[in-house]
Order: sequence, then C-alpha cells, then structure tokens
Amino acid sequence: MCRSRIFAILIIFFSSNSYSALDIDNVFKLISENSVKTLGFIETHSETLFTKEVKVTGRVAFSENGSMSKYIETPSKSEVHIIGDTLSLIDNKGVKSVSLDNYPALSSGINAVRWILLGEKNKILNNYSINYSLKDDYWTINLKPIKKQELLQVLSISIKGKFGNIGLITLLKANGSSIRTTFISLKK
Amino acid sequence: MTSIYKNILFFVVVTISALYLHNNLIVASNIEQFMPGNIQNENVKILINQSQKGSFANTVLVQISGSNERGLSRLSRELRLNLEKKINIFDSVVNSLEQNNFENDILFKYRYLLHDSNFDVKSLHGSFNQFLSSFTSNAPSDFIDYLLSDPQRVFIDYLSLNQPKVSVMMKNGVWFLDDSALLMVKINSKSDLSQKDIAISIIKREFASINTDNAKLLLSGPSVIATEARVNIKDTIQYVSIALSVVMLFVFVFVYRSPYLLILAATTLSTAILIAMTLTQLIFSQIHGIALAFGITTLGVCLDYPLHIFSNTSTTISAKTAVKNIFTPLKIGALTSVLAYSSLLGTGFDGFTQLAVFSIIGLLSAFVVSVYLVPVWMQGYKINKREVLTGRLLPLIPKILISFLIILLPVSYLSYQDGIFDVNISQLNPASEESKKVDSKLRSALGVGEVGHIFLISNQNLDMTLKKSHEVEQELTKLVDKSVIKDFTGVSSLLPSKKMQEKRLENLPSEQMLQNNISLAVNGLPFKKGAFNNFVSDVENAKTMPLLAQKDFEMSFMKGRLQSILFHQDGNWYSLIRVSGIKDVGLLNKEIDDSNILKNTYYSVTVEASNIMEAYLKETWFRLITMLVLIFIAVLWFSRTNKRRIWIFIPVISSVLISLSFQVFLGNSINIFHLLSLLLVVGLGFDYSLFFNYESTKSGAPSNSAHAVTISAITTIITFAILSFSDVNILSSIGQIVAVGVLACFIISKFISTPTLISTNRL
Repeated sequence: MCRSRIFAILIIFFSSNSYSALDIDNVFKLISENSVKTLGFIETHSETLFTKEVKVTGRVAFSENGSMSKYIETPSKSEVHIIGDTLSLIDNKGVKSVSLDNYPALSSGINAVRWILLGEKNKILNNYSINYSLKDDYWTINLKPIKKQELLQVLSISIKGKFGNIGLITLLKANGSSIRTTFISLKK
Repeated sequence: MTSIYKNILFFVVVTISALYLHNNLIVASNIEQFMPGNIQNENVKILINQSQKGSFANTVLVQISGSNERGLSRLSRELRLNLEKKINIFDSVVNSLEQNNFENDILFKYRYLLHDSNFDVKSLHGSFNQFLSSFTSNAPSDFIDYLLSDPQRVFIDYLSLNQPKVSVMMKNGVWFLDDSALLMVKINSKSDLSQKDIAISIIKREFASINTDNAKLLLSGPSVIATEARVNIKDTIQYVSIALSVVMLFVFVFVYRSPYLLILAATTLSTAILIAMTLTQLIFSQIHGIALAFGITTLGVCLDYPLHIFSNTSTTISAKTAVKNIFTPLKIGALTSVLAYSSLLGTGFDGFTQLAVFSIIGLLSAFVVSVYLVPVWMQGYKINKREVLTGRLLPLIPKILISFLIILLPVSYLSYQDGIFDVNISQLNPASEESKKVDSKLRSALGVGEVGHIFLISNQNLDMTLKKSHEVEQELTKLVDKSVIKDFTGVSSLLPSKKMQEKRLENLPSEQMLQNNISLAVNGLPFKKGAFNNFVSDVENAKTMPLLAQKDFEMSFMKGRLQSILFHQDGNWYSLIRVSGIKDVGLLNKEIDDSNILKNTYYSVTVEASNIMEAYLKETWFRLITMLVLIFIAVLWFSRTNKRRIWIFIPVISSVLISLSFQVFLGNSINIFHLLSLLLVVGLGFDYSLFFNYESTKSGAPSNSAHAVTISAITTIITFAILSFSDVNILSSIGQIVAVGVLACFIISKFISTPTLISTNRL
C-alpha cells in the first residue's frame, strides 16, 4: 500500500515535471499520440453575409491516416468526409465531392488541423509561419499561411489546447469573418 | 523499239514516278474510305460518317500510370496546363468535371433560359436552406460566393445534366481509373490527318518534358488508333518485305544460281509497285494504308511473271524465246487476275476501288516489264537452274474422283455451318485488338462515344431540329421512368429551342415579386437583407438579353459537347440523341415501335452498318461468283479445241472453297477482307493451273512450269504465312486465307491441272 502511494507520487512528480517543459515539439508529439478520437464540436461562423453568428454543432471523427468525418446535427443534418484530398459533402441533395487541391483556402484550414493531428511538423513549417506560446498548461499555436494564394483568403489559424488535446481552433478569413471551432469530449 | 529506247523509257518512267511520289505521296489511314459511298439513306450515311469523323474522332484519351497517386495527379494537371496553352492545336483538355470558374462562362448569364427554375417562396426557401447547409458543411468560399448569384443552383443543374456521365474516381482533383490518371483531349476540330499526328506527338513531347517520375503515357482514341495502325501497317510491310527478300535470296541463289535474276525479279516487282502507287496517287490524290499494304501483297502474283521467264530460259533457250513460248498462259494468267480485281471496281467503297486500281495497274505494269524488258535485260544470259521434275501424272478416273472430292467436301462442310459471315463493321478498323480494348475501356469510363443506339433528327431549320429533339427527349424521359433505359443525352437540355427559351423568359418573375418572395423565403434564416442582390439583378438582366443561339457556344467550355450532338452538314441541321444503360434491347425496340416519334428517328448504327456490310458481302460474293463463271465460260471456250484445258478451273474453285472452309474450321468468321483475299487466290490459282496445264513434258521429266510454279508457291506461302501473324487484323486475315489458298491451289494444280496419264500417252 505504502509502495504504491510512493509510486503514484513519483508518477505525478515526473509527469508535471515533463509538462512544465512543454515546447512545441512536445505538443506536436502529444497531439499525434492522441489523434484518433471522436469529439463533439461547436462551430461558430461569423460571416458578413449573415445577420448573426451561425452556430453549427455535431461530431467529428479523426483517424490515424488523416481522414476526417464531420457529422453535422444542427442547423441541418449533413456529413462531410475528408479522405485524402477529396472533400465529400453528403446532404439531402446527394453527394458532392470537391478536390481540396482546387480550393487552397479550404485546404489551408483543413490541412493545418490534419497535419497537427498527424504530428507532421515539417509540412506545417513548409506551409505556415508558426508562432507558439504557452501559459500555464495551455498552449497556443498561431499559423499564418506562407503561400500568397492562401493568404489572400486566410489570414491566420489559431489552435489552442492543453497537453495533447485541441480545445479551440479559430480561422480568421481575409474578409474579416471567422470560424471558431470548440471541441468537446463526448460522454461515454 | 530497240533495247536502248526501251531502257531509256523505263528509266524515265521510274524516275518521274519516284520524283512524283517523293513530293506528293499521302498515305491515309482513316477508315471512312472503306465505308460505302453509295448508301441511299442520307441519315444512315450521316450516322456512319459521324461515328468515324464526328466530334469523338478528334478526341484523344490519355492514360498516365506507373507512379504514385500524387505524382500521377501532378502530371495530369501539368499536362493539362501545358496543352491548354496551345489553343490552335487543342480545343479542350479535361481531367475532371470540376469547374472552378464556371460563373465566368458565357452560358452562365443565360442560365434562366437554359434550365427550368422556380421562384416561388417555398422553392426559394428550400434553396436558401440548402445554401446554409453548404455553408455549414465547409463548402469552399468560392462556392458560397457563387451561390449568392445562383442560390437555386440553376447553372450547376444545367451543367450536371449535360456533362458526360463518367464512371471514374476523383483523386487529388483529377480523374483516375484504377491506378491511372485520365485526361480527355480534343484536337482542334478543323485538323487534318497530318495535324492530328502533330497534335499527338505534341502530347507525347509535353508529357516527356514534365515526366520526372518515369510514369507511362498511353494514348487512345480514333486519331491515335489511326496513327498506330499506320505504324503497324508500315512495320508489317517492312518485316514481310525483309522475310520475302531473305526467301527470294535463298531461292535465287540456290535454285537459279543467279543473284542477278533476283535483281531482275525485284526490279519487276518494285517497278510494278512504283507505277501502281504513282497512278493511284494521281487518280485519288492519296493512297489508303490498307490499299497500299493489301495492294503490295497482292502484287506478289507479279513475281510469277519473271519467274516463269527465268524457269523457261535455259542454257539453250533465250529469255526472248521463253517469253514467246509461254506468252499465251502468261497473258491469260494476267488477264484473269485483272478480271478478278476489276470486280472490286464500282462497289461504292472508295478504298476498295483504290485497291482494285492499284492492283490492276501493278499487274499490267509487271506484265509489261516482264514481257518487254526482262528479255532485254537477259540478252545473252544463260541460266543453269536446278531442275524440278514433273509430278506423277494421274489417270482420268482418279482425277475425276479427286476433283469431286475436293469440291464437294468443302461445299458440304460450309453448307452445314451457320453464321459464317462476319458483318461487324469494326472488322474494317485496322487497329489491333489490344488498342480496341483499351479504347473501349476508356470510352466507357469517360462516358463518351456511345453510338450503338441513336435517335437522329434532321431539318433545314435549326429551331425546328431543336423542337423535334425536345419531342423525342420527352418520349425518352418516359422510357427512363419505366426503367427501359437509364439515361439519354440530347441537345434540347443543352441548347433549348427558341420557343422553350421564350417560355422560360415569360416565367421569370418581376423584380418586385422576386424581392418579395426572397424576403418571405429568408424568414427564419440568418441571411442579411440584400444578400441576394446579385441574384435579383441576374434575373432582371436575363429578361433583356437576346435568346441564346448555337454560335454563342463558340466561347463556352460546352462547345465540344454541343458539337458532338448538334451539327450542320450539307444544308441540314442534325441532332443526335444517345441512349445509355439499356436494360433490355427487345423491350426498347418494342417501346420504339409503339411510338411514332421514336420509330421515325431511331437508328441502330450497328444494325445499319451490319446491313450495309452484309449487302456488300453479298455483292462481293456475287461479283466473285460471276467472275468465276465468266472465267469458267472462257475456259470452256478454250476447251473446244483442247479438252484438257477444262481441268484449269478445278484447282481454282476448290482452293477457294478449301481456304474458306479452313477459316471456318479455325473458328473464324469470314469477313470482307477474306473475300477480297480470295481474288489473289483466284489470280494465283489460275496462274499455277494454267502453267501446269500447258505442261508438255512426260511424267518424271524436268519441267519448266513446275519449276516456276513451285518457286512461286514456296515464296508466296512463306510470305503470307508470316503476314498471318500481323497485329493488324486485316493483314492477318489476308495472310491466313492466301497462305492456305495458295497451298491448296499448288497441290491440286499439280495433280489435277497437269495432263492426264492417258492423254499424255496419246500426245
């Protein structure tokens, strides 16, 4: 009993010790180790087109090969699957697929999340300038597209989280609008 | 004419011919020359012409393989970009149906005339809801911007209705089939044959310049197949020529012990080909590859003429005397061959007429050179050849029995076979089977070139053509509803008639009404007021625009699509409607029979083409039989004074029957080229039969005729046996039938045509 207590104390000590030195490499590592999961999300779109912010809720599933599936519950049911470079939208009108290669702004936002989840730091470095900050155990990674074509539409992508968990992604568009995505753990 | 003048004349003719060909020779490989020119039904003619020369004829299907997906999609994209820059050579280059900037297309502003749209509140509300759904589903921002102008997706629906129904995968934004990236390239519609060749070589060159991944490029489509067929034909001619040269060299060195005679034989054959090519080019302004390849091989019979002279020349008999001795059978042999080929004249197929002209000119040229020039070139030349002995002569009774057997056996075998004739028009396509398979697979995947069942509407007036097309399409829609067919592609959805456009214009709401409906439709949705101002102004603008005309498509990316189903020819407009996904052809035929509109416009290209081919096969049979009957009558006429001439005919007819039976025995259907090849069998058969029949030596004695015929048979059989392995199915057909026919002819002539044992003894 006593030995197990000491062992538990040691674990806490070493783990807190390691988090205190949480640099960007560690964050990438922790995220990639924790990338296969399904989360709830609340997405808030601020768009000049709309009278108010549009709130979208649903679930998002990430897989280890970088595929993502979004199951949108509100305001209307639909699904988005991103496999490779193809985004397929399934709604009551059927399936529509587009290639992300043809939409640099869209792929910029998706790839940023995908590469971070896969721990592909080099790809991130090749496509974005990175600004990393850490406060307490909460880190923030600010990405700014390097490619001019992407920068014309996406000003920055801000990813906030704690340890290996992404909590909030904010995509700021060049037209002033933004998308804020908050991830929530699903109750089992 | 003295020897010098003959030689000068020969030199002048050869030089002029060679110079003329060097500057003017055009070898064509488009198969429409082998299509009938005398079809009575104008629409059938148009359909067959379209299937060969229409929009699809300029399409090159490009397949890139041998690298990873990312590498292949990069190559696909870069190749597209590079080819698109060459606007004078290529009309379009497509590697996906994704259109990024389709709102910039000229047709976009006409969308409310091109496609039905509904402006009531309920419908608009649904569209706006759909808009919101797209937005929340991370649709690209370009697309969201687009939806502000076209929230009902009228133009997108119009495009999807008129796009080819592809069954390919999209990977990295480009088409993929299995592990290959696909592109569809349209060569400029006004390109001629040589320009198409250049375009194909540009595709290959551009690919090579970007191919850092060692990927493979495979091209397909009619233009590519035509080029490939030209190369195949050329290769086949080359290897057959080499084989023939080797055989001839062996024969002349071993049998005649004289390479000089080989030069004379080659000169005779080359001169015949040269003059035949020159005059055919002069008459037709071009020579078809098939006519050339077939013609050159059929001129193999020309080699017999100098061979007969050589074999009848000896250390004691000069070539001049030899010509005198064999002039009659030589003359009859040449005339029967000319007669055989003249049966192809006036058949309505330009290609076959060309072939006949080529062969007749070649035969006559070879005859003239052999009879008038070869003796000049052989003045004072003695031949110490290896002798060939006359075969054993047969008595009359066995001869009669064998004759019955060799005719009745194949006749009875053939008469018990069903469907021995191949009337499939694709037999005329000189492409290899492999090419056809690749082409068919890509065509199917890219949803192009479905030409089996077609509805054709024609009228001098474009709008009337469009109106009638619309009526046919309405009927076809019923068949889609009944699941008789899966889909159809017609012009009325692509370019609606003026009446339809005017009707759609009338249905457009006033600006005020539209604004009101939008205000009501956005109720409960977060759209700002004025979000759809572009949409409103586009609807307003549509009312003031002139109606869309066919010429407006010139600047649109849908131009190629329209050209493939609507075209103007000889003062008439033609509209093609293609159906696909036929569940049951019998059911479709029944539905067509029940509808006058459908019945009057329906054509099964395969059936029509097969009917034409069947008619042509019948005509060729008729001509062949007529020609054989005429020759038989001529033989009978000659037999008046010498009864043994009657045997000349037996080997010819039996070798034709045996050759046909052998093909059927191998499981092959008899196609038009088999029948045409029989003309060569007939020509050579008469040659062999005549010379064996004119034999006057006794059994077992050295024979000049047997000598010449044996050498001819050996060289011909070897050459055509090699040809039968050609990739070009037409040439292999020729090879098979001639090799078997000549072998049969040689053996039968040797036993049947030679004088009988009794008559020889009486002589």
